[in-house]
Amino acid sequence: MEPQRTITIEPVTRIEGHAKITIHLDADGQVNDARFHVTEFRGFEKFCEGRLLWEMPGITSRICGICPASHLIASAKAGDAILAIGIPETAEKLRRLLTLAQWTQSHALSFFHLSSPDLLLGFDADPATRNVFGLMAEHKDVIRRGIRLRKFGQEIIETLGGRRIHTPWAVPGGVRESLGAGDRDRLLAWIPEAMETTTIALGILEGVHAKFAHEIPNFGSTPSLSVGLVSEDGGLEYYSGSLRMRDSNGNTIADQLDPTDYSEYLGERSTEWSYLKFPYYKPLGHDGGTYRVGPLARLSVCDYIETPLAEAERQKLRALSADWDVMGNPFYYHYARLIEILFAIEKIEMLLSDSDILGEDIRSKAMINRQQGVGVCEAPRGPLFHHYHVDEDGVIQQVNMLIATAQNNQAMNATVRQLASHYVHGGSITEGALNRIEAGIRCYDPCLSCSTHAIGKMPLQVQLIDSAGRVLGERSR
Amino acid sequence: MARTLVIGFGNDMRRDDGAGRIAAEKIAATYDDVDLLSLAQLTPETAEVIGDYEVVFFLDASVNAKRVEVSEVLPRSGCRSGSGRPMSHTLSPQQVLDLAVELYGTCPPRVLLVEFPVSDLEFGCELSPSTRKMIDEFVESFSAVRPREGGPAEVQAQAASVSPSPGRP
Amino acid sequence: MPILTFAMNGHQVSGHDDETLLQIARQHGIHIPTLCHLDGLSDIGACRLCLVEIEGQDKLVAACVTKPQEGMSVHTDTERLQRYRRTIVELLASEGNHQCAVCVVNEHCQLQDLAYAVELQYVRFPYLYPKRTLDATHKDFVMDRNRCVLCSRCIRVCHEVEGAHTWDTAGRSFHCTIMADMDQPWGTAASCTSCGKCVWVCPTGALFEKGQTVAEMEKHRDFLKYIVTARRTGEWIAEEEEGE
Repeated sequence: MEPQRTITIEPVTRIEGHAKITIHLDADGQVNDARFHVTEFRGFEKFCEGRLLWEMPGITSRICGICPASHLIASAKAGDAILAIGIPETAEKLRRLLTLAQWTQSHALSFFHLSSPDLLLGFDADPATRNVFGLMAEHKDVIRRGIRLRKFGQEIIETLGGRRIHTPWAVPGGVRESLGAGDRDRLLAWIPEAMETTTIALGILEGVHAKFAHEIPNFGSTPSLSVGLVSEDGGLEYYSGSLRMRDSNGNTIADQLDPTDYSEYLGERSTEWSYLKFPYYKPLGHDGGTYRVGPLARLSVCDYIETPLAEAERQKLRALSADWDVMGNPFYYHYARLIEILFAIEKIEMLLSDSDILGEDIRSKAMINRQQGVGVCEAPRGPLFHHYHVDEDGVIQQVNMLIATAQNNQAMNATVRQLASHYVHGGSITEGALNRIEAGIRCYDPCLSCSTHAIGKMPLQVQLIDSAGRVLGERSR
Repeated sequence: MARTLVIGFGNDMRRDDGAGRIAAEKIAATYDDVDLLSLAQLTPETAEVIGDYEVVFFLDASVNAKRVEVSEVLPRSGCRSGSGRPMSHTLSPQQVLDLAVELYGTCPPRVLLVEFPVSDLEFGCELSPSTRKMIDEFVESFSAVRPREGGPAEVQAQAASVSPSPGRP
Repeated sequence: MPILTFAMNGHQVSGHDDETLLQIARQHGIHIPTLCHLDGLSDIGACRLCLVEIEGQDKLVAACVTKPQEGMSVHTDTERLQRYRRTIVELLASEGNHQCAVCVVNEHCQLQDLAYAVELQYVRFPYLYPKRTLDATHKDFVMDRNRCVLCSRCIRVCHEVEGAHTWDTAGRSFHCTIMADMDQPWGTAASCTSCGKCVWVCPTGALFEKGQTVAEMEKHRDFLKYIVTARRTGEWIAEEEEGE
């Protein structure tokens, strides 16, 4: 255990979080730069040093209350790598099931709860009504369905992980508990309802695309790379596979990158103004190497989706514009998220219908065979890397976690900059501009409590700063 | 005795941040007729279950509270609840209640928010002595704080260390 | 062996003069909490949880190492004793680094059980967060000194039952720790037979099997009774203590 060190950080900044956006004007009053600051503290990696490898899934899955399952999987996979063993087939299928369940519940929350008010009511609506509550008068059923969809994902996670709170189910070498036939049948019974909900949501979104046709092009569509896992033959992947990078024109600039070598091609730049690091693709440098991850990036890098309904929607998304623009426009993150929910439901049904899923051979055991290992999976917001160094006995020497929201950091900044340039004029921030900036960030569905490894109830604060550094205006909500 | 649910939320790996959860777990362990939800954070599905209860307690850690603060959460009508927290994935107790009312047409007669002060938010599981003490005092006084049924608030009837602050937004 | 009669919590009890107050209490269905005591090992009165009061003397005594006297009056559960026991558990909790939520024996831990048993209200003492070491050099087992309460069960089982005497204590006071052989990494301790008895008798997660994950390790300590009985009688049976 580490010696006690007192790091004094105002509890207020820690518990309430601080996500601040500053918009910097040039001498002519035009938007010069916009920055998305996160002033939180990152201490989880230190906390893990000196602990044992086998404890890591249990510790790291508690980083985040939103996607604990993704941390669990990435951590268990890093453990597999250090034990240098293959895990039983059933264990891999069960872990895949968990990963997709995590996607479903997280995407459902983002779409039905956080984003739908923007989408259904518009950005100029009164902020007092422009939230889920404002929506309810007309769309109660949709929101109730969204909650049920989220619950479906949650139900899978609870069934697999056991009812007991916080027993880490995925462990180095496999998983701890198998799935029973009764539970399998109970989960399968959810599929039709989940599918129907997703179809309804897709219908709603189609209307939204028509309604905002004129706004969507200004939605922070800046060139950037897209990064995500793909399967061996280029399909959408979430648990294994290799990393692929495509540029904003759809050209594959790197393929079959071994995710375990991530540190060779992904750099992390620190700035003095944000605790959130800025990852970039090393060969193209800090600025050219900006990349995005998450639903839209995943759909940008894959060639196809293995399930029919999701594949049909992916093709519709691609056909929205002749060139590759659509895949770089964060507005379409919402659509991508729904396509991924559809994929997850289809794939969950496939996995549950596979007789292997009930297998009892679920855990391989081994001792330390390598002194470092990387575990990667696609968390709802993008690839999640857990990288551990251990000594020969399995004691953690060093931990690095590269988290999805951090990887979108540069792209989020670019989005904010573009939205600010377009909507901020005359030295003040209008309500409409604030709404759009907020909605722009929300496209990425950032999870700051996780990327900074601390708790957060984030208020949004936007500051307008002139070329002399004076704060001209400030708004928050 | 009214059907009672205690919902504790917070991060129990950040010491006092988990105060609400620990308090809720202790209450549920002490009182057989109290149901428990112990959560990392409040999410929309929390709204689905609270309507089944006559009394709901939300137990949270608060950096602003100086003492244990108990306040009544009342539903806000007309779909005009304040905006959500734009940058987070969590809901406030107020929002959970409003969601329950608006979406499911259910409203527990009594909803109380209990906030425990915090002094240590480092990594770890142990609470600071002061927060733990306040939790234990609250758990002991819980039967006095707890409304028997949907009657008037009994927040006045608590132990001296528990200070009511009704009418918080 | 003479049989003595005396009072325990106001009731007349009787026991042999070579039995301890703890044994006699158990024979009569009187529960006294313990931590360092384990059936089959010698008693050393280290943890002080089994303290009892004897009428007419101020000094409290450990029931596990105190023999009865004819006509004495013993109290095992007075308010003062309850207070002391709670305090002992508080001190144990604040003196180590016990992160129950991510511990291999979570929910199967005798220190946790004790905390419940003494109705631990809150820890009044500041946590010391001592810098302690984790020794994972043994091929099968791990010693995590963060979770050690210095009950010395491991030392005794290794010395008395296995006969290896790999474990002993080093240092004094706050610096007291369990050490292997000449205070060296466990994996290099030549005397260790890797029998694992120390792991099974440890009341907390200080000793555990490598590869175990959070809340996964349940320790079965019954084996000790069989070994101890077999040594004495040549029969592979567990002798139940009367009243247990």
